Amino acid sequence: VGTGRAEARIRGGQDVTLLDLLDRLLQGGVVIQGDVTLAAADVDLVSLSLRLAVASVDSLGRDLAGPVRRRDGDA
Amino acid sequence: VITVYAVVGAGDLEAMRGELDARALRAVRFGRLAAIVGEAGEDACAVTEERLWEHEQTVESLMRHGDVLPVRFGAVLGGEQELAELLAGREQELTGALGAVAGRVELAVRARFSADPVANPEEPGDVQRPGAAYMSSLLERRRAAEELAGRIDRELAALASASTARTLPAPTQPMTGAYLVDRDAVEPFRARVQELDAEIAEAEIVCTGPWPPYSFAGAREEAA
Repeated sequence: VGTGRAEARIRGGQDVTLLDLLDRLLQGGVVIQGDVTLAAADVDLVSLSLRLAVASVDSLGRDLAGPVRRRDGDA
Repeated sequence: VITVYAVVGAGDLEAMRGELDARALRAVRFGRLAAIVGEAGEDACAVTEERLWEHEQTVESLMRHGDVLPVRFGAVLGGEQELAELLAGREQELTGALGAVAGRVELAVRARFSADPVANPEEPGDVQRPGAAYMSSLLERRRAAEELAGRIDRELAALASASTARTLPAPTQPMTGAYLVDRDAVEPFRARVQELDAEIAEAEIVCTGPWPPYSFAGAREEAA
C-alpha cells in the first residue's frame, strides 16, 4: 500500500486532488446504511475541516504535474 | 466490525483474488454480485485524509482487475450477516448500476476563474445602497460562472457516456464536473480539457483521475 499523498501530487496538484477525493468518497458512491455507519453530521464536519485546510491555497496546482495520473492497467 | 469498499460482479472475483488476499479483504456474495469488505478497527468512525486515501487505493486496486461500483466512505457494519441482509434486496438495482459503468472510469474536471469576474470588487459601489452593490456582484459572478460552466460542460459531456456538473461550487470556481468515459478514451478526454484550458482565457481548467465511478454509482438523486 503506497502513500496517498504521493499519488495526489502526481494526479494534478495536491489540493485540487484532495477536493476531488472529498467530493467522491463523501458524496458519491453506493450508499450502504448500516447501524454503525458514519453519521452525516460527522461526514460534514470532516469534509468541512479538510476543505478549510486546502481552501487557503487558491490554485488548482496544474503546473505541478500532468493532470491525469496514468495507471498501470491503462494505455 | 467491517467496512465496505466496493460492489463487484461475482465473475470478476477470480481476477481480483490476488488483490483481496494481499489486502486481507473478503467477498460477501449476494447473487451475481459481491461486496468487498475488510476488517475495521475500533476507530472505524474516525475520518482522516489517510483513511480516505486508504479507501480510495483499495477501490482502485480492485478496479485494475474488473468493473467496480465504489461504496461511499464510512459504510461500517457490525458484520457480514448484517451486510448480506442489507444487500439482499438490491441485487437488481446494483447490477444495473454496475452495467452502466462497465469498462468506464470517472474523470473529474474543475475550473477556476483566472480573474474575479466582478469588475472592481474592491470599490464600494453605490455608497447609498451597499447591500444592493453586493447582491449585484454576486449575480454578476453567477452569470459569468453559468456561461463558463455551460460551455465547458457542453464540450466535455459530448465525450462522456454520462456526466454531472455543478455551477459555482465555490466563489473562485465557476464549475466542477464528473464525466464517465470509456477506459480507452481517457487520453482524448484529457487532451480536450487541455484545449479548453487554452481556449478559455477566463478560467483555468484541470482534470484529475481516472477515479472509480463514484459519481455514477447510483446515488443520482443526490447528484442533482
